[in-house]
Amino acid sequence: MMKMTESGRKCPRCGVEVPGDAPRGLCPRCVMVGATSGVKPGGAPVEAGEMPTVARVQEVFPQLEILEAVGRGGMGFVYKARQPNLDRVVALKLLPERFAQDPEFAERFNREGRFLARLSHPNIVSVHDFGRTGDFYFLTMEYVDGVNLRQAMQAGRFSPAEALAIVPQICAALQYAHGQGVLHRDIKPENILLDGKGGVKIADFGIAKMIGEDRASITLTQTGATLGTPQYMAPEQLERPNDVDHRADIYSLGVVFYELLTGELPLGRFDPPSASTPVGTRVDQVVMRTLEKDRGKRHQSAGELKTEIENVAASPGQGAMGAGVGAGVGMVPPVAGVGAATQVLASARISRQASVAAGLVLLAVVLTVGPLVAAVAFGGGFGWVDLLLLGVPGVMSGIVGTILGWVAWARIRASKGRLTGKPMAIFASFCMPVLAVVGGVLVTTTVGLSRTTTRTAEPSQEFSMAPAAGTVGYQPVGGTLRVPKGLMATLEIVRTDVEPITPIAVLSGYVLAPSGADVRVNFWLEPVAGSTGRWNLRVVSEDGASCTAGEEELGPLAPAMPDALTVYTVEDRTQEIPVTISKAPGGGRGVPLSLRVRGYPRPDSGQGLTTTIGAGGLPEALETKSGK
Amino acid sequence: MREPESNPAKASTPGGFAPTRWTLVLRAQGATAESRAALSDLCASYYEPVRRFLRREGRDDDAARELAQEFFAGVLARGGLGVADPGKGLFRTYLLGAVKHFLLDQRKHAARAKRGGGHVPESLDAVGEDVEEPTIQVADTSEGMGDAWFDRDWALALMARALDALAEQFRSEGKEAIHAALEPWLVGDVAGTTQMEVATRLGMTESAVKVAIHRLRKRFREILRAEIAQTLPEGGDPDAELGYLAEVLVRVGRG
Repeated sequence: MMKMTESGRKCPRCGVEVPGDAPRGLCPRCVMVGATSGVKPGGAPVEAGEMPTVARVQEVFPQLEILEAVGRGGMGFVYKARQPNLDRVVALKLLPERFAQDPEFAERFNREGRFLARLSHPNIVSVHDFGRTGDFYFLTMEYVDGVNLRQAMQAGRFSPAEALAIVPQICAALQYAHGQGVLHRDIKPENILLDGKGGVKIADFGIAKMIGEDRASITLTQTGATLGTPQYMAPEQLERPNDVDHRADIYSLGVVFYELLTGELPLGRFDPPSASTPVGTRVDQVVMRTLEKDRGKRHQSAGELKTEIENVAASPGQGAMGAGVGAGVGMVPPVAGVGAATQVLASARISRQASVAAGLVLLAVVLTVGPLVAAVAFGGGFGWVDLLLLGVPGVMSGIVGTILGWVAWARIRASKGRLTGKPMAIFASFCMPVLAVVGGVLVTTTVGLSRTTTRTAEPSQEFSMAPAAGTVGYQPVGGTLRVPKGLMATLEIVRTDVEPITPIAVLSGYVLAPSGADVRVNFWLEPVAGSTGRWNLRVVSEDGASCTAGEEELGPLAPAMPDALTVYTVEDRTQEIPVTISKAPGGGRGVPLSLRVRGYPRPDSGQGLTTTIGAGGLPEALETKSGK
Repeated sequence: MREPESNPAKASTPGGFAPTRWTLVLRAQGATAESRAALSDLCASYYEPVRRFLRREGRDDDAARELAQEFFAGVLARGGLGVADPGKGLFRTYLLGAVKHFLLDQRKHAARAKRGGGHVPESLDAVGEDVEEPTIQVADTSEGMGDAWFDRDWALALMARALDALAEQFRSEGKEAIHAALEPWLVGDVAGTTQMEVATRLGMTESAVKVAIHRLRKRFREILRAEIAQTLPEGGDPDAELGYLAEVLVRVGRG
């Protein structure tokens, strides 16, 4: 069978090599398996076993439009559905079918259902309806378009500020429900929903009671893969399931709180949250109290817990955090992020490394850029002394400062808000690299370096000179000057064997090109029959003061040729001379530059040159053609 | 009560009354222009698996492409499918059967080529006759692996279509940046730290990114199911087909 071509990349999720024909480079297995509806987003695939299909549920609930299966758990299956008559989207929860056979269940279900339907709180997923249809016990509930806390935590830890904003909302819900005489009994991340707009809602209130199984036995009877672990249950709930009160919910919330802060469960002899998270000791105290084994030592109400968390967040000297969380009873502050986190934490301080790094970089800037600007503004140059006094310390402090900046930035990030000064660290990290790049670009474009490279530019104009009739001796019969756009170029063919050196032909034109561009001169000479001679071809720029143009020795015109300089083909004599304009007067575009091509004929046959074309001005035959 | 965001893919969600392309084709059997257009669309979408199947049959690239074109030209020219019971089949299984049939005819044709046979496989033209039909599945167990590869390529083609449609949706909403940043999470949850980076880059909170990823996945799933529904007969379950295709990817991809 054909072997798949591999892309050489491994899927970040399953670790298997991604096939080369994978659409958009995504691992097809993970994408498609992830898209199967029996899978909770981001979760492990669940066997599609007993979950009723959408089609089947649709049959049983004709009054609803079943949109999709949303998820499953020990408490049943959840579908997203639409109530056409009310035009609202609801969550339809079907309890496991095994209950349909349990006669005691019906009574319990109806009793608990009435309680649940009565709960109405912004932080509680409300129950619209419940009952039995066909083989299913069902509840229709408010549909929350978002993720549960487990899914959210799987993606990464919450910042302390986010945790401190979420937990009070749960407290508010618990306080309300406890006041109504309803215990949740199953607080765990899976039952806490985030709606993406900052809202937090608790789902499945009292379902545990309704189902009438304590979690320990569920875990034993089920495979336990999809159902929560007993780790969220209060000790007394595990030991004496029938003797629980609202303080069991507080314990469970404490476990969630601890997990939100640390990413771990409080198992065995666990550390306070501050051991692994930048929170102050007051947060520790609150969390540890919720996790007391003896419920008499815990917070005695969810309201008390809520108040304490808000007090910690708003404790004196902690800035405006109080307003944030206080107002956050209903909503998480939209930007409950970095800023807030730093305020909660007593130990938050400015990173010293970041300050030092920023200072060093600033010094480097002053030492290096300052003199450069001064030199440009007032003229003058640099000497060795300047270089030693300013350049070396400047560069050194720049390098050290930049490295320190990176280190500081990394540490600030790792500190989760305990350290501030990120702007300084970023400044220190990037200032010198950015300056170096900017400087490099400036130098190469305007200041220019004395280098000769042959960048081949497409000719924009071409000058050609047709052979002139009636000339004697050596005769430049043609010349091609290719210059990039933007240059004033004059090509002169001069004789140099007589004083004064005079041009024998001048080709000129005007084009625009950026300064610093290379100029290529294609030039060929064709001596007339019977002549011998030596030619040197020189290209110089007009502005001798500021330009160092390349100079090319053409050498003897035909060193390899025997004396007979009778026939030369054009191709033989083509010379390409790269010229770099090293410094542009004025620095702008469209620099005037003239090129001279000088021929040195041998004195003994030189007299003919004076009569060549173009002497005294532009040859008539000069044509200016626009480029290809 | 929170209404979910309106979803562009919803219109084509199965369960609605709009007939899917394949049901259109099956119902009309090429009798209407609409069904011909639908068949043409379907064929265009799944050209690639057919080409690859032919490629695997030992043809070189050019030959496979030519043959694929010839095959589709034949299918489209007929319009009608010659499927007796429209209720049974998926477009996928139909197409695979038809391709195999086409190949068979090609071979026969080659055998009597010297006698100068016709160009178009004759037997496919007849509808409901006693001649061989490209019915639901050509039962040939020896080619099971080839079939699996066809299905794998089919899944890839489907996935590519859905991914492109998803990208296009985000693009039309001016959210390319969000799409580009979150697309990698379609494979599932990867390392948490990078998600935080994405959050800072997009200027969102972590939980907003988490919810956005969740919604991206959901949208993708909906598009995917809608795409699948286009290839199903009436009453077909897109989830079953999706489950099958995912399974094929797991099985064949690792083989």
